[in-house]
Amino acid sequence: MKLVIGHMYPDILNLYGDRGNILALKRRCEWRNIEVEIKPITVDTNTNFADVDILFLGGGSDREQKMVSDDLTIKKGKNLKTAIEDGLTVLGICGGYQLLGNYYQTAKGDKLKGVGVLDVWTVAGTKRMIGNVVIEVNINEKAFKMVGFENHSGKTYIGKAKPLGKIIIGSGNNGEDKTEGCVYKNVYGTYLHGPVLPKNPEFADYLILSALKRKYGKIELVPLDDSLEKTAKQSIIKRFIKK
Amino acid sequence: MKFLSVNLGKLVNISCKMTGKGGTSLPGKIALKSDSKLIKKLIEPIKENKVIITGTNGKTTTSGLIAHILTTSGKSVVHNKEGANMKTGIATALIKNSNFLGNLNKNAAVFEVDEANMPVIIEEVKPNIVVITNFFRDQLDRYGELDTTVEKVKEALLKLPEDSIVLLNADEPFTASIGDNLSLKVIYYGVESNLNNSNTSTSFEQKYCPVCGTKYIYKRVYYGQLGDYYCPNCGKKRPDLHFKATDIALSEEGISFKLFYKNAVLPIKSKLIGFYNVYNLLAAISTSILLNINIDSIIEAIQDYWPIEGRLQKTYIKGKKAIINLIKNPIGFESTLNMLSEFNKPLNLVIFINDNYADGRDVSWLWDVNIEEFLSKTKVNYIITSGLRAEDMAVRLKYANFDINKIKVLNSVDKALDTISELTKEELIAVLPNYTSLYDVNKYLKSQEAKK
Repeated sequence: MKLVIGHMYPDILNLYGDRGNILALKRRCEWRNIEVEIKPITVDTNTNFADVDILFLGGGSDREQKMVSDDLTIKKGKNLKTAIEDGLTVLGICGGYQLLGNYYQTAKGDKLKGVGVLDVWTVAGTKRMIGNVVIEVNINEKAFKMVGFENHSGKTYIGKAKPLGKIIIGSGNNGEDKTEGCVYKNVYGTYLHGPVLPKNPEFADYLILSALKRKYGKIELVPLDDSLEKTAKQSIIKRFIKK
Repeated sequence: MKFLSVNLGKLVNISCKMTGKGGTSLPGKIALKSDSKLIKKLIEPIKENKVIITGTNGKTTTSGLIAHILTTSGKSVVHNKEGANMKTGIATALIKNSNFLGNLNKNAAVFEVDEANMPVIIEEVKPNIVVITNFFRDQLDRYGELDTTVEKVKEALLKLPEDSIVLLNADEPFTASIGDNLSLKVIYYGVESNLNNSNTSTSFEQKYCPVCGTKYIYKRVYYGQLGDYYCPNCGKKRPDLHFKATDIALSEEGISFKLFYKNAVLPIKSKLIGFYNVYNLLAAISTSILLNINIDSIIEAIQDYWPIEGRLQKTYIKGKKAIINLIKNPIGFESTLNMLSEFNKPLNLVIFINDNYADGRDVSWLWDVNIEEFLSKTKVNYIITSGLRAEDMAVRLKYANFDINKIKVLNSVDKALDTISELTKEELIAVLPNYTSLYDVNKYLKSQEAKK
């Protein structure tokens, strides 16, 4: 078995330890003897996404986001949408999440176009939302907590789409409606930036599982010893959720 | 008012000493509450030899070197040497060096300043020279984006007196770009060397030409995004170097290089180790030359300089050889690991990661450190992770494919250091604390010393 992970704009969108997510997917496959290929996809890459199983988009600053917006929406947008409708697994974080939405309105009022896969839109806020985050999610009929760190000034609002989780600690999408992230088909957007997958192995495994299912049909993942990851997650939950 | 505030600060300082607390910021914090312009008032008598150092990495070592050179050449220096580099820390240093009338009997000032505190410190200190070392990703939760930090520092420089000098690292594109369109005197330092590291750093900040937006191309990469770069489109390039280091030789014993300035060539020798210290030495020597310090006394001062606590500090833990080096951001962590692997010795590591405010609350940066590369070329027996984020560090090591049976998570500092000394045989112990955990490590060492 083999999975191809498409890393979108690794040279431009790579803030805050985003690399941890690629590493988490790679190792968790390797530890189960699933072969992994990491395929960098840049502004110069022509791709129809047919050979990609999991697509990852990291975060970037405003400057970097502007650079990829055109490429993503005009050059790659149509193929990407087709692949997503066909069930491609996608994880977008921070800037990558915003770009999967309808648009990002900058502080100056310019509208940067997004791919429009997730029915969300983002408006630059005046206050940065920074800090540890704990959310409650329900993925694949399993409810569990996810932990991470957020650092964004963009406020994201959800239209018809489904949020990824409910905020327990932190700001989430906009600091107002207690939602965090967004889900559409196998596309996940979140503000839990950087290394969200290593400390949330259930989520990492679900992304792997959904990609494998699409490619190979019904499949089960060999469980791994996640005690270290669980301790790391619990230590944050214990610290921030006072009983 | 100055008199009152200084004594208030001094009182706090005495009580800090009595309670055994550090007291590097608190006296200044309290005194500034009673007189917000205290820094400006206290530093007023010093007209010359005022230097401010800012940037992500190298502030403490560079300012330590400059203060040491100035002292050796006969100046009396006020210096925030404990590294408390916000407004409160600088006020504390001034208070400690003033008499109870509020008079500062010093004729030189060297302050390392946190990037975000630059505007107010520049306005009050009115430095003769501002040194900027580099900009790396560091505590993004506090500073926001890197571009924003660079912009803020650039804006702060507009508050400088007209005859001030800005000394910039030409090899670091973000820092070098500070000099563009600056109406002050700008001087550049950099490295001209055949040492060409293939860029393995994962926290490489791709720099785009500020003129035309094209990606820079590197003729050489020294480390991180530092190197000899140019724009293939419009031809903008690394600025010409006023101070240049060549013929660099690195060893476990120290660093040597030749420094070119105008028509002079100076042979430099230092006990500092690691390539990144070439830049710190270069910045410090350039500053001293610009301050007209006698060349011979500069060379002499450099040779006997040894850094302060926590920077390449050699020590013993229960009789076992250990080296302590602060790690606080991805490039600093990577440079330290590179230096350790150059020793060609088996190692045991203790890594302390706290996430207090001064450390930055976000520990995502651990994933930007190329630990895989280090583990591939270095024999490491055990790694103990400690501090408030011990578990995060352990997970990071697991995903670097380090054997989880050789990882121990011990949140208690004492337990972590006791355990590593028990596990260690002939190998070297490397103690790598981030900012606030260094304090705990030193406390442990002092308590061990006291037991003897």
